[in-house]
Amino acid sequence: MKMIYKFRLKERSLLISCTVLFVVLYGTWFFESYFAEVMFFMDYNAEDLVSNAKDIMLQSILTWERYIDSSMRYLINFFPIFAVFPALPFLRERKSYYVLGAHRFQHYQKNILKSILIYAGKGGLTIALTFSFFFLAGSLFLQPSVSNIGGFSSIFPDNFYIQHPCLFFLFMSWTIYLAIGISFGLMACGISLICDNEIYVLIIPLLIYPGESYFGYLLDFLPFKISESVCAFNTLYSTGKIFIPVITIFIFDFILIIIGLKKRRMLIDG
Amino acid sequence: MDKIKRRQYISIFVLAIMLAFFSVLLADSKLTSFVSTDLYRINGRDLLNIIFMTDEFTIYPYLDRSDIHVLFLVFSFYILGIILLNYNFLSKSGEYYCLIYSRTGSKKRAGKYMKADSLGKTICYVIAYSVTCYIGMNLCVKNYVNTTRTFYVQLFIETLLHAGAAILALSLLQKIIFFVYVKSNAAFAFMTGLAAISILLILDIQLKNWNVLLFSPKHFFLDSIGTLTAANIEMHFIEKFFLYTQLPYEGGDYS
Repeated sequence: MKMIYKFRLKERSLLISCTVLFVVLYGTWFFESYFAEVMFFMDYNAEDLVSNAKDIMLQSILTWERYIDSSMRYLINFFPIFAVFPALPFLRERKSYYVLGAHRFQHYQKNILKSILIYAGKGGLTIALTFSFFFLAGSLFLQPSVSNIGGFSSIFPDNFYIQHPCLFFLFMSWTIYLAIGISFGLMACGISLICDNEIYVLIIPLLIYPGESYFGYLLDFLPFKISESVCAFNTLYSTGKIFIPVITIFIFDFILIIIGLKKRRMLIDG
Repeated sequence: MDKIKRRQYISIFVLAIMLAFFSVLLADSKLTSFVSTDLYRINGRDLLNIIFMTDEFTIYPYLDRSDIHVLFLVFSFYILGIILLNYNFLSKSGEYYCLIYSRTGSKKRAGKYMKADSLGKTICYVIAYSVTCYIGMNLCVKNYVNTTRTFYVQLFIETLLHAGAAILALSLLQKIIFFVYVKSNAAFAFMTGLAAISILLILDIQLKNWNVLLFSPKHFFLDSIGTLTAANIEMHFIEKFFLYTQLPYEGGDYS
């Protein structure tokens, strides 16, 4: 195996990003879904309470809908950062490996494209893996309370969600969340082909994401509503329509990558 | 004021006004859609409530705690703030601090040099944003049909007090980000800033009768200004003891 593949495997950034995302998800769920209040802060010595008030309240809180809805409340404002962070080492690689060894590659652009695909896949895997662990852990103690979760389950037959809620959420994390992660990883790679500075790779996706969804909501234009596909668990659009905002981001990424590759080519050729 | 500094101030000013303009537009569209569905007498405070966000969800019928986009405008204000105000050191790699330290001779002066007139920029950003929101509120309120009389002087004073709290919050965030930046690198520092914003907001919504970042003038923002001042002073001492201490040189006279 080549040394560069070992280097890419040993990178800690995927692990760090996964852990931070996991901690943020469980931290916000703990406080936002009244779980902390019911378990620790509530006074159960009041006289007009029934004896098993705690069990009744826990049963109303531990549902799939509240679980995902409360854990995403703060995350939705800076969701792309977890896909961008594992793609950061590409900038270092582009500055050293693809400059010092530029004369050794037979197909220079093909090699760059290959490593871009690897890093974008890493960005997608971060989000999909973390969410699937999150849902698998949730399936131990959660129950569905709504019979129809929304437009994203329209591909499935009726009553699928109430019978297999965990399967539905795993499907969600390996389709739409994987696509969002790959699109923002590609965006990070495209920016790092053009810019030399580390912080631009973090900042520009974070400015594009709220700006685009802002104009989408103001003009009521679906291809810009990227935050609608981030909260795919609670939406009115059907399964196919949810992917339209991601396709807009993919088009933007390809434009960025083509411009960046042309710029690299001009620098190498002289 | 030299040319680069003037350019930075003008860009911060223009971006803050643009952000405020778009926030007023979004809040206005939200309020008009609410008016057409339900009967509630709207006054100027409601627009500011949507822009700056309040945690009294039971009083105002247009606010819904389960709505996932309810904190969007607050987050965009603070994220743009930490990007613009900390851009001067976040765009440089970590070794610059050591280089400047070796020239200035004191760590504190090096930190001051890296932050580059941060307080003036913060005041410019926050005041431009708040005053533009207030002016936009005055222009928008005339269009609504069902309005009640509001005390505009009181609202203006409350907006200014909230702006003071926001200045303190942004300077606290800058201290935290600079600490992490010196200890590790720029990417981690930026991530820590985002985490700090969300921790402050979670605290704010969890604590009833206590306000940190949001717009609920129950105690006239004395609670938020007090909390943030205390946190700033604490962060100042943490910087003094863990970032700026210089160990005594024992190898004889170095001059």
